[in-house]
This record gives sequence, structure tokens and C-alpha cells, in this order.
Amino acid sequence: MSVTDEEDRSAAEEAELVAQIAAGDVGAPVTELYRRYGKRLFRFGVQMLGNNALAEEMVQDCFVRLWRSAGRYDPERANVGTFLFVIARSAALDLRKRPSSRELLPLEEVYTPPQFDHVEQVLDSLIMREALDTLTVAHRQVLRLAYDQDLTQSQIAERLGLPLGTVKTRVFHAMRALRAALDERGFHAA
Amino acid sequence: MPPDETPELHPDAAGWALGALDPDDAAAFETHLHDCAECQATVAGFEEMARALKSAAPAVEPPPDLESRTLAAVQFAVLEAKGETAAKAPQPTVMMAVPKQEVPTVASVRQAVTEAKAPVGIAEPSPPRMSRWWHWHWNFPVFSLAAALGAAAAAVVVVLANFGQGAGPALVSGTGPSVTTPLSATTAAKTFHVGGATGEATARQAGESWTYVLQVRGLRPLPGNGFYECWWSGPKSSPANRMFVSGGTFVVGKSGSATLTMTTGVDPRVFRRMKITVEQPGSGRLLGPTVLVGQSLT
Repeated sequence: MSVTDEEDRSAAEEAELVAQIAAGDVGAPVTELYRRYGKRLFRFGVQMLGNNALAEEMVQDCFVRLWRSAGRYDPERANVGTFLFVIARSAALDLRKRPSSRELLPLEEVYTPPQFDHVEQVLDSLIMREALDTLTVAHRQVLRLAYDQDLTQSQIAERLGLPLGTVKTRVFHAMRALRAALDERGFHAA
Repeated sequence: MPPDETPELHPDAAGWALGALDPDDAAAFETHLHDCAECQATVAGFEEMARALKSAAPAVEPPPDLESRTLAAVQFAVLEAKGETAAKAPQPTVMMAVPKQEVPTVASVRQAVTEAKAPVGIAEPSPPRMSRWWHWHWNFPVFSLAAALGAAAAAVVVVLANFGQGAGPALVSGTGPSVTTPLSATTAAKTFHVGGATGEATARQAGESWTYVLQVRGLRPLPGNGFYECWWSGPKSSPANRMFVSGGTFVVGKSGSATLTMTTGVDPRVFRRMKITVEQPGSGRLLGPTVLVGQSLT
């Protein structure tokens, strides 16, 4: 089965799950969609809201909204993932506007809800996280030391007790593996 | 040399894009880059990725109970939309074995949504406050036997959520395997004019306990203070040595349908047989006539 066939099958499955929710089944279909999207939605919420507690609330609200709007879902227009993230974006914006959220939100961002571009960036960051999660521990480790801790390759070599040449090739292959993982997800950095 | 050691492009291309080269290496690579079209193309792609890497989402994980709280949130929304709560549904008033605070009212479900760490329908295992009727039941010899055999340890923290007419599909929380018990009417059911009754219980393991969703259809409101009761019977239960654990009592409205959520330590793979009986307070019998019966599909 090709990747496209598999994607089509998965999309059809998820559309069916939404149809079941629309028909009133809020048990297994909700559970299944949570298991497919819950983590991504939570991370999306953390990125959008900067607060884990609000992100948890956003995830719950997102699925309640999914139940309410499931009857209007049209698989011809968007896949379920897109549908869910549109809902999540709306839920996150509402949470940001809510006065009681303000004590949990970063002060400078309370009155400036994110614009669409920001949401796109958040989605990109989620894809990047997922792609990173597919790398081997060794590859992820050298990339994290480089981009997160701003270490040079010789500092990484020293930190890990590896020859500099090994670190160089490991960084190179880590970046190549990351690019492949991003390509699989249709991600192209702007 | 293994493949990981033989990049076909310049080994510093990725490090340079990440800004991770040491100054001397960076200077040398930039000299090379000036004249190498292949490396220029490679670096361009890597630079874009390096920028995106900086904004990768944090590797945060949702708390494990968020799934159950999310399901509770949806269930709460369904209850609100129906304008129904378990508290509004008809309840046996005298003989209920369930402490009032364990009935999932809208307020309690809302609390569960925002605060609870337990899956839907699982009440805190506080000691049940037994009504006088229940106390009588508990002191009955068969129950003592059941308690001695550990059934009481598995006993019965009950949450009844009688959604009444048109009850929706079952929502069974928990993460473990699910076990289904189809229920069909007994001969005795005809006596109560419920010969066409059917039901199904789905149990799912949630931690050390099991959450059951029992759906019944085709029952009738019972006269007087009559009510239905759900029971499990143990593996060695016999007429001479009956091992029964009660899951709770319920009534039905005119629809004849009800959905009950029960949380208990009773393992449906061990206590495989389930029955629904008709009870009348003061009848003097432990178990009334059985109208629905079934065995778990394990």
C-alpha cells in the first residue's frame, strides 16, 4: 500500500469517526480521535497559550466543540486533523480572551491574540517536534545541543566524549534524517 | 566504513547551517562554499531547517488523565444538551444504596471535568453510607459469604447515571481491555411483561477497578416501590453457595431504557455472569426474580 493510499484510508477512518460522533456516539470515536490528536492538540495549546493548565482546558473544549460541530463536518473540504486544529485555534483564542485566563497567561501577550500566521507557525513547530521525535536518540541529542544550547561541534564532542569527526558526521546525518522526516510530513521550511 | 561515516557532501555543511562550527572550521567551509554549487544548495535547505528547528514545539506531554477528563467533558456537554442529569432521573428514594453525593449531577460532572483525576464515572472509594434497607441486605448471610470471599473487597462503589429515555451510546472510560456481556430476557421476564427486554454491559478496566456501562431496553416501570437490581455472580456460585455482588439499583421511565455507569472491583472475567432482578423492598428475599441474564464474552 502506498503512502497516499494509507493516508486516504486513515482520512476515511477519521471521517467515519466524526460521523459516529455526529450520530451521538461519544465513546469510542472520541477516545480514538483523542489518541490520534490529543498530544498534538495539547502541544498546540501550550504553544498558543503558554500554559499547560490552559492547554489542558483547550483540549477538553476542543473535543466538546468537535461533538457540537461534528454534524457539519464535510470531509470533502478538509481532513479531520485540519478540522480539529481549526477548532483548537478558535478554542485557544477564546481562552485567551477569557478574563479568568489572564492570571495564567504571559502578561505581554494577554491583549494580543495570535494572528493566523502565528497559528501556522505553531502548526509548523508541532510538525518539527514530531519529526525530531522520529530521529534516533543520538541524532536528536547532537541537534539539541547545537540548536538549543548553542554549542559548537567541538563543545558537543567534549560534552559527549566523542571524536570531533564523529560529531560532524552525526550532525550531518541528523540533519538529513530530519529533512526526510519533514518531507514525509509535507513540511517545507519557509 | 559504515554509511554514517561517509557523507557524500561536505561534512561541515550541516554544522555550518546550524551555526555549530568552530570559527576555524567555519572560515574554511565558507571558502569552500563560495566555489561549490552542490554545497550551496545543500546549505540552503539546511539553513531553512535550522531556523525552523529553533521554534520546534517543546516536547511536553499531556498528563495521563487528560484523556479521561476530555471524555468527561464531552459527556457533560451531552448531559447538558439533553437537559438531563442523573439527579433528575427517577430514583428509588428509600432503598438506594448510593450516597447522594456519588450521583453524577451536572455539578459533580463539571467538577470531574475540571478537577477529577479519575476516569468518568469513577467515584472516590469512600465508604458507602448505607440506607437501612441496604444495611439489612448487607447483613444477609449470602452477602457475608461474598464479603468473606473477597467480593466485598471488590464491592461496590456505585455510580448510577440513569440517562433515561433515548439514552445515548455507551461511554466506557478506562484504558484496559473491554469485556462485553450481552443480556437477554429470561422466562420470568414475561411475568413482568418485559419478555422482549434486552441489554448489554460493557466493562473496561480503569486502574485496579472496572467501569461498567449497562444499557437496558424494553423494561417497564415497576409498580409501587419496585426497582431493578444488577448483580454479578462469582465463578463458584451455586444455589447452595451463592456468591453475588450487587452493582446497584435502578428504575426505568416509560421508555423502558436506561444507561447506568457503575464502577467496581468486580472483574468480569471472573464474575462472568450478570443478571438483572426485580426487587420489592420488604419482600424478604435476597434476590428477586431474574428478568435479564447474560455471560461475559471473554
